[in-house]
Amino acid sequence: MNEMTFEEKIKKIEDIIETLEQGDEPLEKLLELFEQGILLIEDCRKYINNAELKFIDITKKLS
Amino acid sequence: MFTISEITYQIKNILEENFENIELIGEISNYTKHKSGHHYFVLKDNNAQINAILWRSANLNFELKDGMKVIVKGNIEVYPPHGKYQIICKLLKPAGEGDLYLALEALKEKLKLLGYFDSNRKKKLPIFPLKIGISTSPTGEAINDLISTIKRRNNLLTIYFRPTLVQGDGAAEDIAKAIEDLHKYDCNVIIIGRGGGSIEDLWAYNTEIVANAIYNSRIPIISAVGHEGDYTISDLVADYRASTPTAAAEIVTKITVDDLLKFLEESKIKITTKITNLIELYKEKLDDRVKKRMVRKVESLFNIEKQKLDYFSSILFNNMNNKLNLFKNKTNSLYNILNANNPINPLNKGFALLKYNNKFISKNKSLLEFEDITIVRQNENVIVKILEKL
Repeated sequence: MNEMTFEEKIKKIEDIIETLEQGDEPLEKLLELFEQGILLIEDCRKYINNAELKFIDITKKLS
Repeated sequence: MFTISEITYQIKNILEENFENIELIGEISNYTKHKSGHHYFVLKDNNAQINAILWRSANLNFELKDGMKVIVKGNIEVYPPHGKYQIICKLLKPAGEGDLYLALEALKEKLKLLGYFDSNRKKKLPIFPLKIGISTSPTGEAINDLISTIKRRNNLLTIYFRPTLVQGDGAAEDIAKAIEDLHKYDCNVIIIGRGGGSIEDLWAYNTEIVANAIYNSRIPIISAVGHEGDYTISDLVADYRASTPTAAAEIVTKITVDDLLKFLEESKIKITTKITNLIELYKEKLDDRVKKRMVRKVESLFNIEKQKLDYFSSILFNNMNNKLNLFKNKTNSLYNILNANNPINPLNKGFALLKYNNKFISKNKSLLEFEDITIVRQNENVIVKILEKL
């Protein structure tokens, strides 16, 4: 999972949402997908927050 | 007996042989300057008069005027067609100082009318000339004053010195020629001048030929004819008049080398400051603008991604909730169905259940098969013996 880029992770989240919406899978499978989606979202949030901090750091150095 | 021609030619011969190269002094009257440029006038004293002609080719250094006393040098000639004798002047000069002034005033008036003295045609002196032409006498103090003053104040200058006659015969022509000669060296400014002297000494500078040379010069000219009082013609025509040669030298070296170096140093500082300020200003502007744009761009990217993630998260949760609710409902309804079919239910209504060996007795079995059975009620269980079938 960690080898995926940010964009790949987003794509994966979108796929999970689509599967959940169709809802044809067994509950166990759905829960598994849900957990995976939440973990991916948390992952992406962390990435974005880090990127933002880095960006603020850079802009501070610029000025 | 003579014919008119014979007598006239005999008179002509006698007169012309005997009155060659004579000098006359007299007052001018009936002066006319013919369109051709030749001068016609009458010379007279209290008791007599003689016609006089000065050809255009004779260099006349001043204007003639009626009443002016002049000395002329020339030949008496007879003009047979008119039966008149006259003097053909080769040289003409004012007779006294008063007449010189008169001549001078006449020339001034003429040149003034021609616009020679107009200030709007005068050229500006160069601020920092590099080549200076000088026309003055090689002897005398003027040249020493000029060179020493210039060199002392600015030793970067190149001086082109054209030794020039400044008085006497041919002086006016030589001054005019000197101005022309100095044009060959592309001088930035020309100084013509000499030390002081009497009006006769300075006469060359009061002549029309010098006035013309100054007027036609492409190079600015400083006239420095050292004398007090009235200006010479050259002073009036020149682009600048200096009272003495030394003053002229000071004018052309108005900015000394030291001044120049100081100016350059100041300019360097000014320019550097200006450019540094400009660079700083642009840097600031650029920094500010580019930074702001970049920051906005990145911030909006972050905002988009953050919102997207929030959106995904809520969709995920909603979906999962829906699914869970769905399953919960299903489970609930199953429970209800199951509950509805719970065999314990009749007990609540007062019915009893029959068990044997802790198992419900199925409806297919006869109770006679058992010795004893357990009756299960809501609040009590009792064991009963089976006696007989009724």
